[in-house]
Amino acid sequence: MSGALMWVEVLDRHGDVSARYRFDDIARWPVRVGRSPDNDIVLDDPHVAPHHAVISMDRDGHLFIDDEGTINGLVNEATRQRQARVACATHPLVRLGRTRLRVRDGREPVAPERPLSREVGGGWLALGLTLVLGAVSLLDLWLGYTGNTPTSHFVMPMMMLSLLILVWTSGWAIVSRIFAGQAWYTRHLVTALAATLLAVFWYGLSEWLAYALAWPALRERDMASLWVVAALACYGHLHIMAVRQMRLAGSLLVFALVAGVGLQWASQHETRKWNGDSAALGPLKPPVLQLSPPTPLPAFIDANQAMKARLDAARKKTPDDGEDELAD
Amino acid sequence: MIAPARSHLSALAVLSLILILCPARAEAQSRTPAKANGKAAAAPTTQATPQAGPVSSIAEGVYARAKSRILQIRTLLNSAGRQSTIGSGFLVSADGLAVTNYHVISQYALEPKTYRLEYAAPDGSKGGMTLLAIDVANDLAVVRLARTDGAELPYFDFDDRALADALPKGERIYAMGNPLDIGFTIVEGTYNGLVDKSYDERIHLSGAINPGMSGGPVTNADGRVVGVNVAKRTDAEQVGFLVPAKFAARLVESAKRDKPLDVSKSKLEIGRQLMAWQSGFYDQFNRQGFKDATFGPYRGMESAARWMNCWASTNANAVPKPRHVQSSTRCDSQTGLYVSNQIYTGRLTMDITWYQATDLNAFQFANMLSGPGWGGFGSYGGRSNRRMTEQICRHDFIAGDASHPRLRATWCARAYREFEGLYDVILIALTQDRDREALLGRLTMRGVGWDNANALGKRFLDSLRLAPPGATPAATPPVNGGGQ
Repeated sequence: MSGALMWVEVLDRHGDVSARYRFDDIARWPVRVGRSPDNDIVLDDPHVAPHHAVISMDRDGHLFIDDEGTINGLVNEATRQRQARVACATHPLVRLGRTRLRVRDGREPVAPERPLSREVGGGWLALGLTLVLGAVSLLDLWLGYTGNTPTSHFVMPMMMLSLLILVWTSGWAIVSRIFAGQAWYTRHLVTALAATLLAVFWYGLSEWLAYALAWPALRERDMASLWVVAALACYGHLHIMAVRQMRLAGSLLVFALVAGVGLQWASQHETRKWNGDSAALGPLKPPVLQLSPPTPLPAFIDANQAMKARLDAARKKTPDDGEDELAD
Repeated sequence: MIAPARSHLSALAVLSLILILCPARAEAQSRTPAKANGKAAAAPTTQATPQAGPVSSIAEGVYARAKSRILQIRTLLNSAGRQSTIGSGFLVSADGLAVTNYHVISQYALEPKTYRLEYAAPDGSKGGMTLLAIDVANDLAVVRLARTDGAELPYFDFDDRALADALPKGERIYAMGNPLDIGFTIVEGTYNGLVDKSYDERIHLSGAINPGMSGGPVTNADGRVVGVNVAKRTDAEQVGFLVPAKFAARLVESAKRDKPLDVSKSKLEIGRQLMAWQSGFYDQFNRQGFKDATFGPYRGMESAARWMNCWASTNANAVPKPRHVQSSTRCDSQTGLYVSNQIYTGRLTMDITWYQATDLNAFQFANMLSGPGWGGFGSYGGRSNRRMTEQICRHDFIAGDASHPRLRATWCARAYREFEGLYDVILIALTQDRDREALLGRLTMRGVGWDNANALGKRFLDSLRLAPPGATPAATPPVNGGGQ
């Protein structure tokens, strides 16, 4: 077969190519792979047989790799199944002992060139998000401080936030580098910044609604927000790493999210049951931001009747606490 | 018992009152001079007595005669057979009736299966007691000594001038009891009339009374009872409080006349008395009326009741210069009914604070107002326990009109598990008509009936108004400098 060209790549533990062999002389085929020095491809792996496998091409030009009757055999990396023969066109990645080989047909098309500008854009995006997040956080701090506040009260929280984002991003970059081969630092940073911004806006929104609807419980009991944002961020980070089982990862994240929210809700529910509501107005905003229509005074007082019914029902129930001290 | 303490937070000081407990007992000693109702003839002699001889010799005589009639009253934990709290008491009839404070025997009254009562007399004799009658509002109880010999006991008479509220200020009086379980004691003090600004009548005694003396008698030089030790202020020197003798006499009469209290159902009786007390209190409170208080562009209400204790405060002169100015009035009924070591009820407070931003924008002003942790009811918070349900709050905006600003209101309440119909209620309201200026009203009612709470709450919310143009800003302190 004229023009036949095959590359065999030996991969290291991280999936990077450690050695690459070119075969274009059909007369020298089949290509023999094993630990013995008389092979075409010599693998220094004690779990590989001296003559482990043979790569050949059939009449139709399809590449195959065949087990030579070894102890550890061939494992198709796509299916994780041991096979006597693996068709390399559909399953190029094969494991022999502990070594992974990729058999590539020299005629197969490769992905087009990726323009450099995309990464540059990522950098600008990260910078923009950093500026927006910084501005929003400073504004939030400024609006929150109502006494005579020293400048350090602005500096410290901002430093803590920066540090947190830095540590989080670096963690993901390292994980990314180890498991996906590349750090993708900028992408992880953009994801972390976007998630933080989302959390800040969510918090602001729930605080505003807590005021606007005269419903402080909305703010007090909004434990889902941080979990949802964290889960979204994790999904984003995994997506950047091009994890193969995204669907599985997604399900795991949803599970973790539900478990986290559920546990926190349960513990808050206990505390609330124990402590009761706090006698406070809750979050306040300028009056112009209110939404729910005001109730006329008589109707407000009349609505207390339902509360009385709840209290009267509660007083008949035996409290389940035992912390009541009887003696001084 | 180191008596339950409560705190009164006023603008100037934290005032604290503690209830004090003490005992008495009967031993054959001096002859009882008169029947329980006493003789009117005793009065003139008594008045002459304080000037009669050296002070110490009078106290000596008073104690010598009282010795056989005072008791220590103990609440014992049944399971351990040891005292859980101690107080004092005194005999008021030949057949063994004695008076003490309700709070001395409250554990027994509330948990008769866990506790029992015992008396110990100065001569060392001891015995059991039965509870006949209680008066929670005046912190009194009448008990009967369990005796088998049937002998007549010496006892105290009430002073007729005290019963008629006719004791002269400055008269020397003698408080007795067993403070801190260290032995029976007599303390000389001065009668200083009834406490001003107090809804419940209490005698002001200038003298040192201490925990353990609660329920002990306070007599004149003639040995006749003018009051019963009940409490003292811990933030002051020698400021003691007595329950006037007339209430004790009244309770003794009803104990003699009526069926004794069924201790297994004493909670019902306590609940009934608390309901009756709050009904009378809120009735009086409303009857005494209210007056307007102007705060800048707003108007709120203040109680006109003589016995409401009101204080004003401002941060206008604070250093460094605050970014908002606030001025407030705080009124406190300073009433308090001891029910158990976890329930101290019957207090009403009404605060109004006017806030004005000087250097805060609208968002900062709103954040500042969300800041103050108003909390629940004192140290108990809004917690659910065996005595109280958890606190429930509702929040709403209340519509305004031409004279009323729109309000943001929070109404919180919790119920007393043991006393049906009784609640603690907190009402907080904030005006919503301006960005950088607001009036915050806060009303707390402890141990209130639902209808009374609703009525006063409604009135309070309705009182938060816009001051008519040109109104005199009577309660407005000057705003020092500051921008708008």
